[in-house]
Amino acid sequence: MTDPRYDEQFRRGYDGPPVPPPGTGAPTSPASSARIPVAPLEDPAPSQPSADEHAPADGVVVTDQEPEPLRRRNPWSIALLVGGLVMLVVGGWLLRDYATTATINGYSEGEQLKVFLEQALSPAILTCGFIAVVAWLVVGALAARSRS
Amino acid sequence: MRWRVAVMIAMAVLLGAAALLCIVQSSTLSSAGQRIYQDVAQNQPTIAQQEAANQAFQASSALGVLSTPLAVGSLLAVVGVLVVLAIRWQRLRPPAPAR
Repeated sequence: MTDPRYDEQFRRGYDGPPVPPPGTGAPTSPASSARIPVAPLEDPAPSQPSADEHAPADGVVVTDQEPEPLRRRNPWSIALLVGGLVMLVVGGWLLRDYATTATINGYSEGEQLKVFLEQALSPAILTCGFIAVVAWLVVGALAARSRS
Repeated sequence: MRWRVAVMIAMAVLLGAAALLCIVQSSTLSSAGQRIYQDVAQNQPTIAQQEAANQAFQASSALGVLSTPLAVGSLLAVVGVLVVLAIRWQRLRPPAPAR
């Protein structure tokens, strides 16, 4: 007598009725043992699969193209870059205005305040614009380092 | 980390206000000094007036010099807040799924 563990019902691909255990003698009814046919998931005559997809034996189509993960850009980093560029533009404009309106003959009260504002703020705004752009690069480098 | 961001925001506001105050005061003092010499041909300023004008110009110059670093500090605080928030966003972001 053969070992029941090597019985045919335990082999891969066995599709027949379940074999009763030896000694029970209870035959299974054909109705209970009949397998219900399952409709295939795919068209039985599918077209040729494309290069980046293949159909395994169970009919499930697996594509190699997984959905691209949503890589949301850092909004604060964008604000840093935009703010830095705006500061550079505004600082350059103030400096240009100061350079073209400065005069040795003196100013009126309103002109004086404007000239003092431009004189004090244009280097400050330009400096911080450069620093903001450099900080944006540093934040990007840190983000790239944490990703790798 | 939140209190540091709050301190930076407060620094940005305070330093910005101080810089603006310095600029306005510097402009006012400079105008006051110039007014003494407005019509030198008609009214020759006295020694005391010349001394006052000289002090006004010196104070105006000092306040003008002081206003630039104050403005830089204010703007740098704003940049610092943005940097902190960007790094925090980067840390709190869920990691991308491995492919």
